Amino acid sequence: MALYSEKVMDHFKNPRNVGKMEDADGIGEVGNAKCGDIMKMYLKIEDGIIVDVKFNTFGCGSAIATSSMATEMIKGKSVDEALTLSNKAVVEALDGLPAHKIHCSVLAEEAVKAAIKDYYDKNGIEYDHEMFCEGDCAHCHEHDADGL
Amino acid sequence: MHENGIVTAEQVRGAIRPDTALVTVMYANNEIGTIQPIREIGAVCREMGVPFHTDAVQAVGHIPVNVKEDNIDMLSVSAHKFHGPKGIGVLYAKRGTILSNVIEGGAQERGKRAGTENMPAIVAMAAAMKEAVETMDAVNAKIIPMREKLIEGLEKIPHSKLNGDRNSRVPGTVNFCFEGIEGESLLLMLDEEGIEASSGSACTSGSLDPSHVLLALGMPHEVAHGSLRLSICENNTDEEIDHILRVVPEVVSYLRNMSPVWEALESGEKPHLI
Repeated sequence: MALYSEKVMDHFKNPRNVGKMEDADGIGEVGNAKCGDIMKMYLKIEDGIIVDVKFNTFGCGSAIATSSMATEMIKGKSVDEALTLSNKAVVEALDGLPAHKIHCSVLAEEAVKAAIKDYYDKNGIEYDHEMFCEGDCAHCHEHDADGL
Repeated sequence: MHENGIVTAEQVRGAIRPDTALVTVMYANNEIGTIQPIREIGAVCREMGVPFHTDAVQAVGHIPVNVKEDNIDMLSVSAHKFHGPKGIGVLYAKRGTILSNVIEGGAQERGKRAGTENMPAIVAMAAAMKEAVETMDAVNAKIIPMREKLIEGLEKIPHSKLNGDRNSRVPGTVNFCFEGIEGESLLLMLDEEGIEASSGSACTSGSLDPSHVLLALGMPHEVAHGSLRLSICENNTDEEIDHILRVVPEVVSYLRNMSPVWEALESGEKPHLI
């Protein structure tokens, strides 16, 4: 299948950091089963650094690959750095995605943010609420039209 | 429509209005393989004086089709569905059926569609159809046991469901839903194992919606996303069926293990739907 780049297929077939985390400091779940993608991201955070990350994803090949790539890109980074992760950076790291799969990368970005928001909430850390989406699938799918 | 995908003749009778110009019902569905009661539907259309067309692309060459006995006024056929070439087909129309011209110009195809006919493709289609019809019984005697084995094997996967009617189906089509997983990732993993399947799901079509056929059967969106369609023909072998039955449960289980939807179902947070 030539739908995806070699990198996407590699991350799909050998997903990094797949699994659950019992003692996560932040958990973010975004997407909607009706739309066909749900990502759940688990973060272990020590001194503001993401020391471990795990994900579970229900979705197509690119949903699994973007989740995997996003976890690699934030592991070992500070929470502040992880917040700057953009869907575009995930797409570039995967050597591109088909236009109608761009929403998967948006979902990956939102999953990271949702997990960080959960971490902030649990620890009473102040933040700007406008930085985070509502985890609303339809919102993410609007990004399809952008096509990057 | 019923859960098995069958449209009854009585439903068609109820849907016909004084201004109904045409009734068209697929002979057999392309995604789930369900065979419709075409003869009975055709009889209702005759009785009510409405022309009846059937898309028999999935049926011709696979199951007996007889336009006279089945009360069919018009019927569509595509050659590639019985090992003929792609890009050629037939529209049968009963003598006396009024058809408008599709392409105006030359006199080819009785003026209905002007332009030089693709003679090699037409001849190849006729040869393929002849062979398909002549070998139909022998082919089906081989395919149907494989299909049954496939269905019985896949039904053992927990929270799986065969789509379409259990009995009234074309010999080579098997369509399943597996709860908690998404169809495209299933297809990609099966492709890696040498199994070429299709899904009819959002991801293969580029649309975000799952199969409209499965939704019409009343399948919830989240379950319809996890569909798998396997088509078998006489060139498949028992060993290939065994391979599919070895690989599919493994892949389904692997994908479920990383699925937050499956986690919610298994923890009881959400009820299983199938």
